[in-house]
Amino acid sequence: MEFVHRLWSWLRREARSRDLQEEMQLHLELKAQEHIARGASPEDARRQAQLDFGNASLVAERSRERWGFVQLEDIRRDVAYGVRQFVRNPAFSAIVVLTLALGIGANSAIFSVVNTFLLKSLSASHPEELVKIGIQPSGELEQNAFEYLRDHQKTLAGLIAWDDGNIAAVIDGKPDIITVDYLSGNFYSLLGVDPLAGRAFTPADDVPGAPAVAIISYEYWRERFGLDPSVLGKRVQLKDVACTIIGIARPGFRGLRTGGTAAKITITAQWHAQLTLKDNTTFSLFGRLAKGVSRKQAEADLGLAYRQWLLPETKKVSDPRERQALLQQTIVVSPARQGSLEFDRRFVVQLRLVEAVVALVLLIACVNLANLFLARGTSRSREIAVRLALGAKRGRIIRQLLTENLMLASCGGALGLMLSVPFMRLFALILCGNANAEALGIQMDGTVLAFTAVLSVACGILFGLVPALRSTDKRISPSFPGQSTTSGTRLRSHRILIVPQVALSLGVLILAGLLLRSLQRLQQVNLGFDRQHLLCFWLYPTLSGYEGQRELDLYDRVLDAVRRVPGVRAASLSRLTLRHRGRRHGLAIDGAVNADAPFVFNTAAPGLFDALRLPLLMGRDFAPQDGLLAQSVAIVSQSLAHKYFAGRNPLGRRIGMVNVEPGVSRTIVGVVSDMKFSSRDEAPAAAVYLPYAQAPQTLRGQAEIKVNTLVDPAVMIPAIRNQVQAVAVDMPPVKILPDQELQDFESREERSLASLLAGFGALAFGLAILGLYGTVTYSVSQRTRELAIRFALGATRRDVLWLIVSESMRYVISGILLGWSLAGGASHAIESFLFEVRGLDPVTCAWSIGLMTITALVAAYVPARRARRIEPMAVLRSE
Amino acid sequence: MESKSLLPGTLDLLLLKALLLEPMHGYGIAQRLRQISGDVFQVEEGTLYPALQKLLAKGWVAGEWKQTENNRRARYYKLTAAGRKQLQTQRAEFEKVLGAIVRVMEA
Repeated sequence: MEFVHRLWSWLRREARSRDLQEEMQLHLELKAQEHIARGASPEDARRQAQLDFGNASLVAERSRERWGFVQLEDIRRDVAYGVRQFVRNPAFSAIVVLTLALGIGANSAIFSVVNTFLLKSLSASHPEELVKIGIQPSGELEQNAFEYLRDHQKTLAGLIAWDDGNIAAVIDGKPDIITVDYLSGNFYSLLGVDPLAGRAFTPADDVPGAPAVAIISYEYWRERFGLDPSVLGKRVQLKDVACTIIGIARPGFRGLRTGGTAAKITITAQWHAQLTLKDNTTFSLFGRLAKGVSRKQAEADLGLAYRQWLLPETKKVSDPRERQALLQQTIVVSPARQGSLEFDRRFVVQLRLVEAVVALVLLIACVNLANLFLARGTSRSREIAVRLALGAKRGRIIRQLLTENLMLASCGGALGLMLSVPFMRLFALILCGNANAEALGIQMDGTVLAFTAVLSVACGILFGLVPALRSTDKRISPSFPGQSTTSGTRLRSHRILIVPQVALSLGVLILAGLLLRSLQRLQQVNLGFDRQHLLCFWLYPTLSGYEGQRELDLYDRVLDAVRRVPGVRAASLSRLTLRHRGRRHGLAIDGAVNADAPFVFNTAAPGLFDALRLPLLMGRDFAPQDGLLAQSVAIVSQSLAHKYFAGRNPLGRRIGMVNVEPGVSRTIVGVVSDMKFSSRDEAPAAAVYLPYAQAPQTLRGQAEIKVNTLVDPAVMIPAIRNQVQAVAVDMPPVKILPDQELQDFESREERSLASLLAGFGALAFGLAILGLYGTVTYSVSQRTRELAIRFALGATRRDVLWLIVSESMRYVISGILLGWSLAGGASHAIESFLFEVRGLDPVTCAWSIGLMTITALVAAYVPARRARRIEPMAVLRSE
Repeated sequence: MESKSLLPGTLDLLLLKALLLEPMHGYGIAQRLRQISGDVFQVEEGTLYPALQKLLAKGWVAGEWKQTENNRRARYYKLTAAGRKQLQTQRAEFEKVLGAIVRVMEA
């Protein structure tokens, strides 16, 4: 009822106002007549009537509160007033909005990345019931362990097995390597997700003997098949398995991931052993807790089942070390609301660090804006003083100023939302190596929008509240400014904002410097072999169905073809990628087992050391006759020879890798000089090389080919690719890279973190310097009278210059000290990204602090020079 | 209300009571209140108008523009059915409170 009345009154507020005026007018007239009747003069009667009546405009104001919505009305008026203010100062408003838009845009973008990878729930029904089943302290779950657990657990609604990888698929006669997810048949029903078209897997698809079926991702359907619906029922040849496409997943569906690229094709887990590489036999396990079961209960239940499976398994292990490790394994059930979160800790650290730095940039920008508003508050204080004097309440004026700031912040937020899209692409490119943010699942959603809105309001309050409080404070606000103040609390509080700005930006600068320096060190590492003229590519013959001798023949064909390309000096291969970081233990030297001896091993085709330009120091290289049936031989590295055969001739001695190939003993036929297997290796590892034809079972099926060229390797890529294609017709085209790029790939995380920190560090630095410049400019403009008096009393220009610069530099130096200690604390967070550079590296710190000090001096000196131009007489006369 | 000689919250009650007899315009109500109270209520007369607007908004009184005896246009306020009910409630409430105060003061 009252609401209707209010609404109606508000709609007719003009008429209401007229009615009230008429009513009050009548009242005053009747009142005046009453006084006249008592004998007063008309003049006095009118005055008396008004006195009796009270403040008519206040009465009107009070009455109006009953019509419509005063709060809303006030806000509308504040907004209109704010708009007028902005139109009057377009440059000022534009600077504020743009600064905020950049800051908020970058923050929204990095938040959407964090949201995608670290916060978002899996798109499944009741994701909070999902759990991940892992092993502590270390270990992985094999396929038969999965089957045992699946059949013996009692606490889960279902157990899911998942693995991902690459697979060679021949579609319409064209071979290609595509990403694949292997999922157990119950996956879709347990997660409660449907495909877009066709049908999902059922457990019946995942039993031996069931026909092979596949579901393709929506994105692959679009790219490869152009959204052709007839793809359902199509045959896809996966190695020797003919597979039928039965379903198409929904857009953006990524199985157990919330972010990253979706696997192009999904097949049932039963084909895993047959289709993957030989050394990959493990699955990640997930499950859904049964109703009313806690994680602890499930952990106990699964732990018991795993123990039952494990005990007979341990009996098969000969190495006591490995048996011990197996017996220590326990099952851990952890929440998996967000799916797999398979990326490593470094990615998370990286993400959080970038998030922190981007937030810092926004914070510094807000501090700058607060400074700007403080300065403007002074110039508007005449207006505010007048309004306070006319009886406006302080709260009302603060609300008005805050409304203005919130409007600016909202504009900044809206523009920031637009800017966040390119920022998202930038972050996706730098952090995930793929600029297509949407394909990685990084996108604007409700959470990101809410975050941006909250951030905008927080910014508006942050940079608006302090200036608003100050400019309405009667104790500080000089009632009629226009006169300059002296250096008092006002200026001090103004300058104190320099400290956090300098501290935060210096902190980021030092971190970026540490990373850049560490990258430089990584680049300079000498691995011991010739990288300048090296190309590499990989072959996965297993995926295309090459086994045994056919695989070896393929390698020979490819190597021969590559060696024939003009400009190729040498070509050879290793079975494991050369830069793997795997350390093994347990060597038998002449039959004597040393279970703790660490080493690295690899297989090499004849000519590998020549292709790497790694000198052979003793004995011979591998030769084609070192085949599967020939004598088992090995070549060892210089450091291994030195360690175990100090001074004696290692040739002809016997060496065995007790845990890699139990019972095999190899004759040493050569010693090759040392190389590092990773840039981060402290020293060259002791290495054992086997002939590629004698590789143990787990190393078969894949090879890294190294090609040493006479000219710049990059120009040789097309010729080599053509040759490989010609001799391996049914193999998918290979990716060929210069070795240098491999090196870059190895340090890609360091590189991306360094570039992001350097970029945003530079931004923070620039903003801090801008802030300092602004502060000094403002303080000089506010102190003209004081400075003029100083001049008049005989201060030299140099004195005044020194006074101003030194006052600012006091704060800069406090900021530097604070920033330095901040960087010291934060450098622990990036420790795992650093190489040969420790915590507070003196060189980096010296450079950063030097840069900060010099730039700050310039930023303070330039505006301080204006003080020299003050004409004391002119200033003092004008006041 | 800035009426120092009124008990807080009683202005509504007084207005409703004044209108119980007959519809009146603002000036008339002010006259009536002063007369009945024997000049005890020294209200700034303007404060009647926001109070009347409130009664209108609540639907306790209705306004009607009519001619006065002197042929002037004026808004006459009339008690509605809801207003009568409200008057009874407020009156009962007021008498209860007043009785309590009186008892306390005489104890």
